[in-house]
Amino acid sequence: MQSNPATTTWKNPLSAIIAFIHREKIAAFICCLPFVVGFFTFLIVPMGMSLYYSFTNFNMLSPPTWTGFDNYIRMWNDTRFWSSLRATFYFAFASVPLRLIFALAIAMLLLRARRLIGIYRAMYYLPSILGGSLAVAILWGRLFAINGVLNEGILEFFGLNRNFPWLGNVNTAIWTLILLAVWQFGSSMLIFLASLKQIPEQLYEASSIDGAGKIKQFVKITLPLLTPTIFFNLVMQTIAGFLAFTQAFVITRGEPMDSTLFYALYMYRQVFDFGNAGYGSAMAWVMLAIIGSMTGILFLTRRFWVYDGGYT
Amino acid sequence: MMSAISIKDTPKRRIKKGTIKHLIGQIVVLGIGIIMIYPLIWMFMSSFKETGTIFETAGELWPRVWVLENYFNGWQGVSNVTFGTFFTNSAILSVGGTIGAVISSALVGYAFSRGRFVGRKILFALMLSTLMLPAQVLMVPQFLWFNQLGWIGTYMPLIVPAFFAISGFFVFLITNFMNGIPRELDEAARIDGCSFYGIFMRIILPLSVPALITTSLFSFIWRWDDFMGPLIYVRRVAQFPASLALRMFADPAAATDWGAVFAMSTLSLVPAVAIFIFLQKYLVEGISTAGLKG
Amino acid sequence: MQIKKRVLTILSGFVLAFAFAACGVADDPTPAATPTPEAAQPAQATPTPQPEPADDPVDMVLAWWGNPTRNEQTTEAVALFMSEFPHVTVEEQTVGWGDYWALLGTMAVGGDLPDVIQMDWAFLEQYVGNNLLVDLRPFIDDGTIDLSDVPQSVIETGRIGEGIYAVSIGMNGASMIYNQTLLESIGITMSHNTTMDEFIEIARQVYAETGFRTNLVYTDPSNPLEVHLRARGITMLTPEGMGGTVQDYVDFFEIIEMGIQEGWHIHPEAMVGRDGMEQDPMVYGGDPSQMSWMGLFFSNMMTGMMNVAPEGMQMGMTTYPSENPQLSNYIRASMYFSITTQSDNPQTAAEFINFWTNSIEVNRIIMAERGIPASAVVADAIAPDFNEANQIASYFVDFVGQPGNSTPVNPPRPEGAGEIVDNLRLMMENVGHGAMTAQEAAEAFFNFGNSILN
Repeated sequence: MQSNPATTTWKNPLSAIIAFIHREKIAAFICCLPFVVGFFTFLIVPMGMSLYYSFTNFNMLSPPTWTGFDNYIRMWNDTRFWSSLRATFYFAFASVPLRLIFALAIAMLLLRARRLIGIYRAMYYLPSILGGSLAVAILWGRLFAINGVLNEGILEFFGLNRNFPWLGNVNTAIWTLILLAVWQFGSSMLIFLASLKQIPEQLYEASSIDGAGKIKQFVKITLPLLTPTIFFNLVMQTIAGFLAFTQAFVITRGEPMDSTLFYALYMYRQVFDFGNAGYGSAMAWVMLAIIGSMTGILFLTRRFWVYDGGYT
Repeated sequence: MMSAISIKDTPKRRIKKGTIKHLIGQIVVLGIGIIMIYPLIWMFMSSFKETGTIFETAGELWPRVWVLENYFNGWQGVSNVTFGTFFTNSAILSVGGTIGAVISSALVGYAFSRGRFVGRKILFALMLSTLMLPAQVLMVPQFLWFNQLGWIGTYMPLIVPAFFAISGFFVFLITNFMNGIPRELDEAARIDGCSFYGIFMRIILPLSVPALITTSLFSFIWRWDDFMGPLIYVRRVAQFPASLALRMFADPAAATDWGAVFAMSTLSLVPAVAIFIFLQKYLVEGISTAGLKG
Repeated sequence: MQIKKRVLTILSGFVLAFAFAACGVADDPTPAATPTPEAAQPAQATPTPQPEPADDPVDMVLAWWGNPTRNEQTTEAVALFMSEFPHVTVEEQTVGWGDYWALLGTMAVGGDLPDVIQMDWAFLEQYVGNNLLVDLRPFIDDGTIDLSDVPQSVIETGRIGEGIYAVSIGMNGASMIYNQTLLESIGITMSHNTTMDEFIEIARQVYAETGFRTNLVYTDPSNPLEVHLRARGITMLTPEGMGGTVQDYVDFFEIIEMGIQEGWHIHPEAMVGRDGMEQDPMVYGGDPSQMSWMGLFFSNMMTGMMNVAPEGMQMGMTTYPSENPQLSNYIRASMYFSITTQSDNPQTAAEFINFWTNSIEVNRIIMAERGIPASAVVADAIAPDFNEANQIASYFVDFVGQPGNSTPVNPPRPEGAGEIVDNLRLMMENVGHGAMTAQEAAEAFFNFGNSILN
């Protein structure tokens, strides 16, 4: 094996190849190749295809027929499309901040608790680990059903109205799903916990010497230093919020009155229940545009509120 | 980082007030914690109740009569396929995809961490962008593409892409970790005659084991839970993973045996809970390190 | 080379250009570019009956939507088939109704449909339209599928255009199931062919005296609406558009609106999150305000309802209420078996359907769970063994089948019906929640249906 490619004699093709792939830059690119191939094959190609299909009428069983911008125009006039957008925004804008607030609050509490920290951390983090499973989605539906755990078990115990249709009421149905999302705040909490531990204690001491109270300390020290973490979580979870699917699919199926018809769920139904793959493709592109601009807007606001100055 | 003054040195607060506050804090934390995991405990307990009594006795946690029949009934599964098969299928999908994700992410993470090649920055940016381009947007496009490839109805769409490191999260996590390994070690190995690949195999890979474990655990749990992928790509009942089987099991159009559903749901959570109990450290570290950057 | 060029183009970001270059299937006349070449073949070409040597092992896939009872029975019946035809192995595919059509849809796209599928009247037209089903006439003509004991009118329910694409495996009728115990307690006796006006009076009385409400539309609104339109001689969904005028729809929506306002109709709130027949408002709910004294079903569902009814609840079966029950009543094939064009062994599939149709042993296993057997001989043979639910259903089908008590079933629903029916469900919810008036909702639904069908 040639260790120095510069002195290779090119007589033996095999050794030439070996030498070539051992050149550092080539080797690094080869290591990167799975990603390059995968990115092209599993992301770019399907997206290119779907862009084409988004301009067609396509039921997947017969060849697509070109319809120009019909799908996009149809979307504009489709009231259910707007309902789904509304439900999705509502869900994302309610669940993400609540989740972060809970995560931060509990992280602050846990920062003080030392004795049982392991057990507490486990209690709060477990829902995050299990929350994505279908088992939990099924369970959640049973919690809020008319004859479910909340009505039959808890509210009845307190002698309250035990017949409230949590999943059927237009105002509460989406909140059961938001609650499920907030319930999984554990992973954000861990991130906050790690960040909080990195804030030097002297900062607090210095400010208490200056006479700052707990609240002022939180506002002036803790919060600014956490803004990078909050920002990162905000971006990632907002995106995740826009993609909610399984929970609505299993628990409410988009009802009542489309109040939980999330965008991804409506897209799924259009393609797989109604056989409109062309329309569904157009919806996928609009979704991409929405997520892209939401992320862009968040990044634009970054310099106004995210503190990047480090700890000094 | 300045940590010359540790927490122990902070001025002692007045003890009495501190204790009461501390106590209240403990109670609040514990109370919320119990509420958090109550639904899970409720499901676990309900799986041992007689199936007809589950919702009548929803307010009681402790089963009046402990029965195991829900587990036997549930295990029978649907369409002559038992949950033994469903769990095996879940395991195949999870392990297969995880192997792919770990190998490819390690390789690509190494290239991003140590490689210097044309287009590295662009590729890294593209990789980061996949963090923001998740499955649901690609649901329709990928379905149509995998259909063209003739992969519908096989496990291919659920396993093969994992071998191409297209999960930005894992690559990102591993790249970050590898960036933390001192470059002096590479240099020493290079002087000893190690090639680019040799450094990976002998130095970087062994040192990256914690990150690789974190990656495999998350990958395993997420794939075990995956519902949408199998929903779209797997068609034969005998190929259903547990997540999909559970959904069919609790089917809206048929009478549902809730005891059996909760029993199988409980079983389906066992792997994640086991990982959680025994390997929590890796999950917590993974979450904290990947989440902190940004 | 070209591909390399494309790669570079992509990486430079010209995704758009590529998408058109690589995916210009619309302009490409070669069949290779179509997603499912199998589906594009004319359906008639496939079934050339080729007798196979009896000992050649054959694999066959059977798919149905079901429930636990049906699944058990079907498995038993399939085992019987396999013991009679030892060279055939039947693989079973079953999921619930809710997932069945999405599953079959993706199978069809992948060219991997089962050999025999349980078919529904509502989907027949679409499947034939997309060349997914085999014309069974050759098999019927050569006797592979022997339909000599099946009434011609029943055979006709599987006809689309020239061809017969589906064989009925059971007959049922649109039927109302009601809580007889409750009605008797307040001295009401239901009689067949009750008109809508009489029905509304009963609903008011039941609500006033017991608090139990009525559930006309929040299980599946499409059948009740279709029945309402049938009474006026209108077919709701036609390939040309929505039948009748907006007013025909408004009239029905107004009944629901009135019911909600007066309180006797169940509120849609009480219906979300109900899973399965055992949570139907007839048998499950917090208190009478969330329960219904009746439900609109099909006659074969009596078995299922009796299984989930609380002890001591007697249930009765009668016709759907409508302006003119004699015109709106109908008997239909509750479900069919069809052979798909993606089947490798249509011959074996046909033998299976024949066995299912004519074997008394098989039907003794499944009884009337899928409806009254299509073959009159088989139906007569198993009738003495019917349980109570089967007897009620059987009596009902006989009654409705009498001349003058019904008219022929509507033609199968056209493509796009799924989305229209889902819109109807949404519009009914809107009326129930008071978000729309009956007039608005009916108009929106009517226009939506036309926009899809045209």
